[in-house]
Amino acid sequence: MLLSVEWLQEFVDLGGIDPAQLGELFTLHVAEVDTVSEPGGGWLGVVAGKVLGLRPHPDADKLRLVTVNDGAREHEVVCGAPNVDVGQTICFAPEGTTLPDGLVLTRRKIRGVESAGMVLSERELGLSEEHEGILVLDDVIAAGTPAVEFLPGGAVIDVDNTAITTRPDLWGHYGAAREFAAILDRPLKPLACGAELPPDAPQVAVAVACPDLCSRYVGWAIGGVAVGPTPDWMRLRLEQAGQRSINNIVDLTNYIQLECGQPIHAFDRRQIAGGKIVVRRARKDEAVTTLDGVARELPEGACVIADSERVVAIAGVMGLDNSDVREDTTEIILEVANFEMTSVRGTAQALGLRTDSSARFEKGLDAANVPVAARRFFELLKQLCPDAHALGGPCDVAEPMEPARVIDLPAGFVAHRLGIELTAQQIDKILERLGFVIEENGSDRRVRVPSWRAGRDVSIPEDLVEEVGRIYGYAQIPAEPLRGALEPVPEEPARRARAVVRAALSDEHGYSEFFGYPFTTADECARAGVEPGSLRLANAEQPGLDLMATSLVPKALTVLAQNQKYRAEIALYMIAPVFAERAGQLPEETERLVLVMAAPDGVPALCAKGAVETLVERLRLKGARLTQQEGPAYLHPGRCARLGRGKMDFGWVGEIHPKIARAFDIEGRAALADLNLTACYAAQGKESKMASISRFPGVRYDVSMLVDRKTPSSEVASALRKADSKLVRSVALFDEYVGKNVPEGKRSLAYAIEFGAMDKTLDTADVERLRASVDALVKKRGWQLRS
Amino acid sequence: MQSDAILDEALRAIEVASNEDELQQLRVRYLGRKSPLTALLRGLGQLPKEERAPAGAAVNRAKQSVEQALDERAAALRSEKESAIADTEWFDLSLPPPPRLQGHRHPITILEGELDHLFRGMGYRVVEGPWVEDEFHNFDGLNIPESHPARDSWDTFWLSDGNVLRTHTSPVQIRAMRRFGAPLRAIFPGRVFRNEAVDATHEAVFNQLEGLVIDKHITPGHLFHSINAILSEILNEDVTTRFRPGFFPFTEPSFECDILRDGSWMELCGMGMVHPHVLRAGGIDPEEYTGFAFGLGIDRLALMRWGIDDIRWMNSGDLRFLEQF
Repeated sequence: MLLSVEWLQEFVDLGGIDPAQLGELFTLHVAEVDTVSEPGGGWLGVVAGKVLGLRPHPDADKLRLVTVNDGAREHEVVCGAPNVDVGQTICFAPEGTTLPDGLVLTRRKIRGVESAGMVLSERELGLSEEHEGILVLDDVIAAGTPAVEFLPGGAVIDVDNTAITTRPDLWGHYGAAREFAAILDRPLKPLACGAELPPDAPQVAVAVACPDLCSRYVGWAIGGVAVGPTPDWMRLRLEQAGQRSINNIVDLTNYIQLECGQPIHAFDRRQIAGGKIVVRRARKDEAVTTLDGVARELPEGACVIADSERVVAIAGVMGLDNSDVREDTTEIILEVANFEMTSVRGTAQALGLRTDSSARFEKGLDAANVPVAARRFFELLKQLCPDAHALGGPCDVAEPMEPARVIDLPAGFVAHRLGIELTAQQIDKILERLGFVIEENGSDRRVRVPSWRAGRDVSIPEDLVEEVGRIYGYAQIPAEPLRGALEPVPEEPARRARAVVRAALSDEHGYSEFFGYPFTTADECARAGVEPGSLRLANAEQPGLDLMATSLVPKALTVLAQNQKYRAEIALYMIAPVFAERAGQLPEETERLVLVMAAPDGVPALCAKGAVETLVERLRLKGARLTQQEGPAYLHPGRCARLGRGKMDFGWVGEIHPKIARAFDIEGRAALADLNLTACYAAQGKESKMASISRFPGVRYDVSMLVDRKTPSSEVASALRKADSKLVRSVALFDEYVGKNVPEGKRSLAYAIEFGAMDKTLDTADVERLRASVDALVKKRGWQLRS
Repeated sequence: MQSDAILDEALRAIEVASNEDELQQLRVRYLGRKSPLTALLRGLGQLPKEERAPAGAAVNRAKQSVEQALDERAAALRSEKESAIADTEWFDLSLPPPPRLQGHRHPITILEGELDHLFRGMGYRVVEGPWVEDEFHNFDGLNIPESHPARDSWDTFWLSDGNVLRTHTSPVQIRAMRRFGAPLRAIFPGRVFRNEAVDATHEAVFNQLEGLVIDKHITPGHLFHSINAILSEILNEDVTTRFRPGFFPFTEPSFECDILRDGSWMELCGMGMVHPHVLRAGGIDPEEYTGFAFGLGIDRLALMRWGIDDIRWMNSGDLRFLEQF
């Protein structure tokens, strides 16, 4: 919303405050201002001048040489404007002036004739886009008067539209002026609306068939209209507020909208069949052509304005090209109405046609403003068209107004909530400046909310706290430290456990954490051999990327392949929930871990398994075992292990299946682990107590044996541990061998076993007995001892 | 040969020994089983009884002296050698170390961890909530009813089951209030989702941290102080802030906080006093308790802190980015 400071000044005295300061005040007390622009900053040096003489340019038909008196001396300048004439008062920029667009005027030759400055158009002054001719000023302005003293406006305050979406009253200059009046404690001048509306019988009949969509409609026939140019003062205000000038009648409707915040529309009375206005819902398959020349199909049920035959406007959005004001229009039917916000918003969205009008209606406008805007229109119309006259009275069809909202405000409530000392008088005064009406009720107050704030904006005592606080100034509220009981702050178990997982992977195993979207595609799932879930995005922006992930594996495979473009060694992990739809409740979110690893010089599956083993230890998943077995489709059937405890599945680790790797363009052997962290967190055991350490030395016994190719070394190791439950201290594999001297289908495993006791040094007889029991065990399991 | 003479000879030999090996040979020669001093000890039995003791003592003294001389010479040789290692043992320490994968945490994890630490130190709980929320927690309970135009301003990802991907971490406010009651100090960090176009400064999936304090007689002054303290801590400088009116459906009054950066005000975060409707949705009596809430964009802080040039790196999974943190 662009606010012209000059326009605001019509309603409140802003003297003595520079525009940047006004912008800051608005930001600090009302809503954020994006920028304050001051085209006047570029008028330094520009003065009023009188055109004394005019002669042709010797070498150019379209250029003329103009003699200008700037109040001190005469200059001759080259000018191409067709409307320049002797006796005019114009804006003159001598050489050296910096124009608003940054151009610095220097003395230069134009087609051979030297020009000592420039006679300016509105565009060159930064006032508008107008540059057909020069700006001609009122002759009462004396030559030499600085431009800042007579050019309109100057500063424009650009308020961030998103900051005033709940303040429909701020979408007009008068509402903004009211805020400045409250902030500065200066009087707000009334809006000049002229006399009461004439009580004559209306010459237009208004029928509202859908009062739920239109709570008030004023239709008013007005004659004596002469469509023509708009006076400069109004045109320039409109330009400052970002509105292009069209003709005086259309401009006036825009002017009222920008002043009162109330959109209005003017129909050519000739085009309104039967002199009848009907507000109704659009029927199925109604098609129209809007003012912008676009043919549109109306959404069924949208609120429209019709005459006795056809639709003439889409309520609150845009008029149609069948009934708008034309150059030869002499009589109009004025529409000032209050349309229901969600209906207008829905229609504008359905049509993809958001207009200045719909943007206002969708915020919920004040129905009480309707007759005010109608009267203001008529008052100003008489200035633009002296012959304008009402054709009968306005036809005002109104639903009963809601009674004014009253908020009971207990004594001390506002000061207590703001945490500062404020007297009742201070509070009353601030609220009254904003248009609230205060009724004393003992020391309590009954506060009547003005109609223009009664939408969603102000309805509870806390809203009044905000009104008082912001006008009083938040900068005046001292910062104060929190006080309260000192209590320990327990950490959420899942957060603690997740930190353990990250430390194990990032700090111990060299994995890097990545984040990603929780969405996947059917194609990605299919390539990963993962079953897609039923839960999907209902309004996905990117086609295809619409499934909620049931597994992190597809994403991890994609990311692994992408990284292979830059890196050979890759170790990555992600922790995120996956989703399973549940009828009648929120989807089940299961936190999972996926890790991927590629290491051309190593055995990725073993590295990944090592990381999983660390997690088992760090998370204290007591009793959790890795068992080699065939698993999910994305893992290599011969290089895959399940992490579980009894029937409880924690997840899988192994090499990525070559088929899946190919589907994702993953190069070489790579590994993946996919764990259910929610289950892991729930299975965390207690911390162990320290295990006693023997003071007596141990004895090492190396044993080597042949086992079947697929006998897991871990199975052998745990068997060896059972050779003596007390005296076997440790069993460690130190060699695996397949090749010469090892028969086909077998492999050789060698373990270092340490024997030791807690209470003595083992003697030769003990050691012999232990060795014998190891050897016996190996034989019993069918493994072949090698000497 | 008498022990003194042997000793003299040994000491002279030790004196000129030039390395460990020579010393070892001398040790064998003068202290070993075949050494003259050992021979003298063996011959003690043939001496007259009264001479045996003094002669034995003399041999033992000589042996100890040789021992000591050997040790001293060895120490001298070692230290001589070590004084030269600057040259003799120099190697290129600028060579790359043996390869070892270095792991990294995601920058958001790093920042969130620091914030977790900071807030827990100030007595805030850290509470998480689901990524998928129902309309009540994401909208209605936060004073955003269905017809409210504010619903449009959150570009929401709707799911096929009628739920939404949470558009903010605010729903956790309600969950935490119901779980813990009042008084309450808590932060809610986590992933949030907006169905909007992605560019260098806008992500559809990003991270927020919301804070909530509820107690008897909490005022805007408490909020302003907390925000100043928190921002000073996070940005590691004494920040200059200002608070101005803002609009959020779930707070009343609402504020925006600007921070002074390079002479101009930069909008940093939104906040306000918890709306009574929200307190009631959380099962807390707004007549008895008041509170404040604030929201921080963690990605935004990360971008500022590390000078990250494009927010899309965050969800890229690209190691070239991840390994910088």
